[in-house]
Amino acid sequence: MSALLEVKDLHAGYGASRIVRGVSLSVEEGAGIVLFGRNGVGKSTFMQALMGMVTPSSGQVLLAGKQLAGRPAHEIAKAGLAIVPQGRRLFPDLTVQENLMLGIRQTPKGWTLDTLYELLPRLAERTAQPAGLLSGGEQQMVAIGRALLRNPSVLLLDEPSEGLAPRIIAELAGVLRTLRADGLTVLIVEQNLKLGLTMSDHVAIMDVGKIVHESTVTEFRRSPDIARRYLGVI
Amino acid sequence: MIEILFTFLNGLGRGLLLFTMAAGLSLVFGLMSVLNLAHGSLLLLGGYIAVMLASGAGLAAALPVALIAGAAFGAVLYFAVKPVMNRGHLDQGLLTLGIAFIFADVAKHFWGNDVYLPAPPEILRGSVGVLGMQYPVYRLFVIVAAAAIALVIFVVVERTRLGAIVRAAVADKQMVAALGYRISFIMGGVFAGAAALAAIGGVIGAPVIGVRPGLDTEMLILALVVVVVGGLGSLRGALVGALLIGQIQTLGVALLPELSSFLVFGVMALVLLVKPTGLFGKVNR
Ligand SMILES: Nc1ncnc2c1ncn2[C@@H]1O[C@H](COP(=O)(O)OP(=O)(O)OP(=O)(O)O)[C@@H](O)[C@H]1O
Ligand SMILES: [Mg+2]
Repeated sequence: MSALLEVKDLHAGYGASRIVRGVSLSVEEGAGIVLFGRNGVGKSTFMQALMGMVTPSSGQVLLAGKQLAGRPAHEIAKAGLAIVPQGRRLFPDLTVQENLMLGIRQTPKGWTLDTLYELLPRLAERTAQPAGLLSGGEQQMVAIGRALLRNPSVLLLDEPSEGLAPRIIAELAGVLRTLRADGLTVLIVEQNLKLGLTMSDHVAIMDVGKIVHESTVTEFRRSPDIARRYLGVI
Repeated sequence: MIEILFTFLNGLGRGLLLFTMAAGLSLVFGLMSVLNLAHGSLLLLGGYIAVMLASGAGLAAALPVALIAGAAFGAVLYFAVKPVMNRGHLDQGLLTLGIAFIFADVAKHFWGNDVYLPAPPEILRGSVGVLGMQYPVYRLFVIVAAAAIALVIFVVVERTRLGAIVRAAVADKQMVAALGYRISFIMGGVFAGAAALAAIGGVIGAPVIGVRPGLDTEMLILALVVVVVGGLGSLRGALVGALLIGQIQTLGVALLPELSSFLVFGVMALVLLVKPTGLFGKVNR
């Protein structure tokens, strides 16, 4: 039995600088994995390498057994990965509706614009506004909506809480927990421990391009020295 | 008084024709940051297609032919430019200019130095009386047809899913790819579409502007001025710029003939002094 998303010894970087240095990670179907790690250790590079936005130099990325490493981003997207990138990367001049529309990939039982607007009613009131004029929280919801509409088999989330006020983060956590309860498979990178843990069942920690710790969320909560050691938090 | 109206109408037609060229030039630049100096060749291609078909099958038949030939030429241009896409404007400029020179030579080989004015279709010949003066029907048709094309361009780019994909790709190609779209198809398609538009503009304009060697560079330079005045990459800017340059050119010839060629560039310099990004430009590239 292999996992839905299986990463084996993945290496990636930019030109001569090797950033991701042999990462292996399994994501079971229906699981939530949170990837922690200090600033600049290569979390985003890893996520982008999964998505094909950065081309891995070696290693494997298997989605339901299908080799994705080295494929172009549009093929990886079609294979079933979707990303909410760090910094959201909406198309600021396009309206909310247009941003969402670009994500649409119809599946028999998946998300549609209508069901998405039910989940995120605030966006339904902003459909005609340029996405760039929305608040940070609303923009993050658009980025999540755009990725959900692709009906991915695994959703990659890169620091969705970055730059958001605590009240908005709580709202975001609510939405993400709903998605997880629905059975969505998620790999999330977070700096906000609370948000990352509340929606995951596994923890992985990255340090300078390598996974240095893996455990269940329960184990992680029980041993505070892990967080202290790798993340420098109390 | 009526002369002024006619001059205005002439300028309007000219400006709208210019837009069919400038729109593509601007879109291609916005999307790929490639300044296609062979864009004038496409207009000339359309012009010669009009010349060839006007006497036989008729000018209307030249439209689909120009559409297909223009798109094909555009696709060829895209594949030619693709390898130098990340190599800076100088390399791209030299490459596309080289292609323009080759095309100009080939065209001269077939059609020589003559100026051709292909005949409009039967129903668009003659003139209508306006306040006791005669204005050619075909010139009115140019205004209507080019305005219709401009409208189609705007609707497609601003109101369709396809247009949204193109605008998104202008902003962030990598993100568009991560949503499952193949960027090279988008870029090739825009190149081909822009080329087809210029060729169709060449067909429609042929009976009034005169198809001849040198028309390609002449129109390319005007289109470049339009794009610079309007703001690189902005469709609205291209429209406003084209209408403005169209008027300045015809008014200039009518009122200040000895200064007319200076006026166009004078306006460009003025706009750049006041707003270096062009009227509707956002970023200075
Ligand atoms: N496009 C790029 N070109 C070159 N180097 C880059 C690029 N993007 C990131 N880097 C470098 O790669 C390293 C890892 O960056 P990355 O964004 O993957 O880290 P991160 O763990 O996501 O950090 P953060 O928590 O701040 O988001 C950093 O040293 C960064 O400077
Ligand atoms: Mg990051």
